[in-house]
Amino acid sequence: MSTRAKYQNRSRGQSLVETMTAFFILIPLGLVAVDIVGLVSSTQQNEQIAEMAARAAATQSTQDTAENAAKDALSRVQTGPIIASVTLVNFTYDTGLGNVTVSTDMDVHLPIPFPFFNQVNCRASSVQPIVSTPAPG
Amino acid sequence: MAEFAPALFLLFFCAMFPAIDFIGIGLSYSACMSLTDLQLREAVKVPRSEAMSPSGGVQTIIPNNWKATVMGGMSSLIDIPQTQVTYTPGVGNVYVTVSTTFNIHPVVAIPIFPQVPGLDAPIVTTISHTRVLENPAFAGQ
Repeated sequence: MSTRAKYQNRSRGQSLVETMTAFFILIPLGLVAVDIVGLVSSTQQNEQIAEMAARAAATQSTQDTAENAAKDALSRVQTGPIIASVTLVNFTYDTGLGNVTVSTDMDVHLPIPFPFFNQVNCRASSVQPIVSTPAPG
Repeated sequence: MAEFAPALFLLFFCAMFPAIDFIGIGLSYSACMSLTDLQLREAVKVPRSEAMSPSGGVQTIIPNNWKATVMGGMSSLIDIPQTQVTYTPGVGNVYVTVSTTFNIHPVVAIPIFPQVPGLDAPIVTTISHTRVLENPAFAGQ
């Protein structure tokens, strides 16, 4: 084999190694980017859900009806392959301060699961003024 | 040099133009989401008759104003989006849902993917948002 042929073979092998290395870096980066988009979108949706539940509760005049209204608002959330569940974890109906606080937990399944990292739990809180009773003093 | 033309063809038609189309669809989709959000914010504040009116603020005026903005202009919609407003009674509240259907045209139509939505044909998508009606009495007005 001539020196030129040896050089060409070595050059092709080097290109192959570079390409494979680049793929091993670029493809996971692209997949992580998809996960980040899904995660950001889900957390934003969780914020909106908490706000909707708090608004629904804020129109009620008692703690029980307010909590039921918040749960009813959460029951309208459409779950799917990414958003597994949304639950009410904290509910405060404070007539002294004149506001209602709702905290929700959302289980997010990443669109592209990685080993040991395939589910994220997000928490969002929203405070809304109670609009069913006169404002305090 | 012989492989130059096929390489360019593959690069443009299978990589670059689809990438431009996907970016365009993403921008259009986010613009359409913002329009739906604007319509919903209006729908929860006005009486039902106004929200359901085909010439009212929710269904016509807001989409027309949105279309005149940079965001609305950048979204490659074929026609004015169609909006549907529905009211659902809940526990102590009434919920308003605004569903808007968009017809998004691809930025670059690629003829080697005939009638594929997003690459050569328009994508039809419906975005729905729900919120609590500010004044439950508006549901009957």
